[in-house]
Amino acid sequence: MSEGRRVGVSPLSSAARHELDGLVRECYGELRAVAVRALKDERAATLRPTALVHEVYLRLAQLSRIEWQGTPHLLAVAARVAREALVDDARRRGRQKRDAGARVTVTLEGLEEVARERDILDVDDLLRELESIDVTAARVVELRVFGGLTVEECAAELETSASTVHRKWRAGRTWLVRELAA
Amino acid sequence: MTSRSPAERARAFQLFEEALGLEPEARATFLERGCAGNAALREEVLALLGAEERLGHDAQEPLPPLSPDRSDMLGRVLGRFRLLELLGQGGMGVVYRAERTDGIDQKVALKVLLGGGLSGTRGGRFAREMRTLARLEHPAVARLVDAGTADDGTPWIAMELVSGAEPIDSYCQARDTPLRERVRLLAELADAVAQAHRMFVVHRDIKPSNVLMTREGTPKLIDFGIAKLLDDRSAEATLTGDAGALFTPQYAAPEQVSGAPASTATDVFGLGALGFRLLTGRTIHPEATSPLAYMLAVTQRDPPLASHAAREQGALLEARLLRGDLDAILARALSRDPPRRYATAEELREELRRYLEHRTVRARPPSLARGAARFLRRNALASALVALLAAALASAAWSYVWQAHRVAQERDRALSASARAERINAFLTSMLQASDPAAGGRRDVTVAQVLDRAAEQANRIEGAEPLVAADALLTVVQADSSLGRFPEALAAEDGLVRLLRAQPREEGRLGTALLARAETLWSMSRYGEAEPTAREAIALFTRATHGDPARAPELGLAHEKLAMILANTNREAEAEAEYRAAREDLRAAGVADVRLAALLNDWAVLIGGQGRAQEALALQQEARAVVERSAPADHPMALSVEFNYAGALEAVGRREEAVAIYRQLIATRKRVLGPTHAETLWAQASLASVLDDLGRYPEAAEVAGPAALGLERTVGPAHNLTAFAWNVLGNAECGRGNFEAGIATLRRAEAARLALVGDRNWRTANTRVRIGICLSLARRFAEAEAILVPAVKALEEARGPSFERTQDGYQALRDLYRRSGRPDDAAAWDARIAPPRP
Repeated sequence: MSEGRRVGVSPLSSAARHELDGLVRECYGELRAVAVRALKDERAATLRPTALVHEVYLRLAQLSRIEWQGTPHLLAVAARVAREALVDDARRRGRQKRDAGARVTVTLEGLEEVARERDILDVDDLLRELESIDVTAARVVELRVFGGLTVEECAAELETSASTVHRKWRAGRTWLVRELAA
Repeated sequence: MTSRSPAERARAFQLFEEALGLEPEARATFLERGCAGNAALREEVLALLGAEERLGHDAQEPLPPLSPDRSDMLGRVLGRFRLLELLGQGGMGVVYRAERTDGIDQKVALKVLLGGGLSGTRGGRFAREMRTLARLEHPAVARLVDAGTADDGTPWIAMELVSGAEPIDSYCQARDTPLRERVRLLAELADAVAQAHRMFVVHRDIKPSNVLMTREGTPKLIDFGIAKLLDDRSAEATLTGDAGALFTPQYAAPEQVSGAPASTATDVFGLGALGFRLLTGRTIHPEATSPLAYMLAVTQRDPPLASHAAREQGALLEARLLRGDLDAILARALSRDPPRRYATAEELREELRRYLEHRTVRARPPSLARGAARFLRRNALASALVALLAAALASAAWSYVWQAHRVAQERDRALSASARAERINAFLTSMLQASDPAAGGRRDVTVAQVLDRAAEQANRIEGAEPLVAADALLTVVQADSSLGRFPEALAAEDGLVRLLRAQPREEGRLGTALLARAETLWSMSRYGEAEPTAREAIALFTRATHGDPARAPELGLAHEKLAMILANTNREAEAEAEYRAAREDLRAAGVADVRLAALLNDWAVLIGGQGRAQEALALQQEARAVVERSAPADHPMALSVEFNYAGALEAVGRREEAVAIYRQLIATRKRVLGPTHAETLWAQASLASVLDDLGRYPEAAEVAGPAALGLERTVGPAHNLTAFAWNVLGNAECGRGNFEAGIATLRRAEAARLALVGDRNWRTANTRVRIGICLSLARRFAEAEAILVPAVKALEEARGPSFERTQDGYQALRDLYRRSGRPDDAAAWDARIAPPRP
């Protein structure tokens, strides 16, 4: 009964979603390039993936023809692109100079206190493992730590309830933090 | 733990996640069962739960609302009440239906404040709610029955249980509650709020979900939850800190969203916003879909007039009823500046009552037209139907009809205007008395029935009072055509024409009746009958004015009507002659307003379609000058003229100017009609089309994309406008080298065209030529050829070889063959391309 209280989550029409997915397929290379360029600009090797997501997001919004404001799907796509770009970049650096200084570390959105400056490759590996355990939990963690999506936005993107997202997030991030500390 | 097998790790995670969904007390049992003696697994899950506990709740974001289905609460006893059933979850707690445990038959709505004892802001607010409610006693406020705290300190309050408990907006919608009744409900709520104000209580969150309707149809205002006591002692516990977070978009006042203190004027705004929703069917700023957007909207823009909003919703009858007093009342209640609103809810209530009793509303200064309306209302039965007819009398439409009578009136001095108004009024009154329950009639009379009855009655009295009957019938005609009841309008017009033919010296009025009849027939696309009717009207007006058009604008308007009829039957040369005559006559009669602009606009569109671009532009410029002098910039006619002016500029190649006009127009339409209105989107697609022509493809794509998607939503995928927008977008994409996206988009346009006009239509063929060009640019030559050849042939057949789009097709084929290394074929098509026009 609290009409108007729903915050910022406007689900995309399926046509628009289809259009965006097609666009991402088409421009994937370019988006990755945007992400990598953004990484190069960063002097420090420690990044906030959400800043990177912002770059990708802007480029996507520019490329696409739909008004994306408030659509979590675009952020979700950007989160995935950013994660992959970060991993690529870390691997490339690793190949170039094989020493510890080549590590790319990230500070995870929402987990600043407990997971500061983690190796992106570790985070990526663990998310892959979590995926094999619980796909939804892994997606929620990815969307939140890389994309900075809110619980509600995750719920809209994953087409599930906010309470499920919230539970998956509590479980997933605890698992991730614990594994990172191990 | 990493030494454990993947399967074990997965199992631990699963149990951990499930346990998180349980209350802490229930977890132990759950783990006993789930781990089934596997101590290591249990330990792992407990470790995860411990880690989760230490990690704490997300500090950055509030948790989503607790699950409302706290079934463990059912059956619990709080004070004198036992919880029976979950009713819902409000802003501050969970509401249950509860019954008395002491045998007294009383059911209440019991609200439990979740999240523990009476500490912190929530507890303080809860306590204030109790004090507030205890002091309020009004039929339209849910009464406080009892309040207390549970053993664990959880506070609760018991309120009067509202039977039915349907939010007021869905209640009215479901029952199709008449507008007048909705106004009455609003007045009742204003009365309740007024009483609260006298006790220094401000509600601060008036909205449909806080007004529940009982089965008996009484509104009950609930949730004085964030009410702020104006009383100084309570005001010390300032609410301004969290006030900003507690507003409800679409109903909160500007001062609330900007964090300023709430006052009684805040509730006046809330009542206004609630009234707007109830009377128009939509909220004040529906385009603002997020709280931030609403904050901007409500602080920077005035809500539209209620009657405009209703019309946009397609509620034409409501729109007519709202126009005037209710528009003014709501606009004043919804002023952005609190001092400009009604100072108290009491004042607002008084205004609503004045409206209901047909007394003068103070929200706006009286005008000449309103004098007549007020005169009629005061003397009419208290019925919305009279208000409708009276509004028709007072409206601009009526004044147009009234002017039409001027010729006759000059000779008709025996009956003064006021005497006639009185007799029309007497007529309407007698007509409505027949539907009054006291007089044995039916209670629920629809407007349609009243109009039918009025027509009948008028025919009955025409022998004794022919001129009064004629005026009444004209009123009916006006109402019928504005409601789209064309067959009924036509029947009334026929009666009117017959009546006036029998009267001596009534050529002027007969002309007016015939003009109305021609218009109705034109609206029904019955051009064959419309034409002689319009011609007769012209003849009558010519005679009545003794050939001097300066004496009445009707002659010009009749010529215009005839022109429109002729244009619709493809007699373009004759139509133009009529337009020309109409312009002369209107000018002679001193008409230089939107009526003249409309004529010029239609005329320009007609000759623009014949390729006479320069002449069309000149007419459009003339129309524009007329509109600029006589109407506000956001008048619908001004917007139409502007749109067609841009099109005319485009047609003569002045594209940069057209771009500027379109951009301006889009901004205005966004403001006036909203960003998702088909006309706004159409202008956007048109702008993109010019940008395409200018080769500014990225800009074009940026504009066309949202327009195409918006149109697909607004007017549907199988619509000319949607196809047009996809076409423009596809062109733009190809133009900037995104061939695949361009082809895919053009295919959508093609599908829309096919659904609309079929395979052989030139528009379908044109879209296919665009696809062919795109394929050719993408060097997919075989596919390009396969689509281009038949498409060009179809264009030739439909519109001939010299048609611009056919020529585009020739050029596309030539370029294709040049590119694919077939110079002979290229030369063959090149030969068919006409040299560019000078």
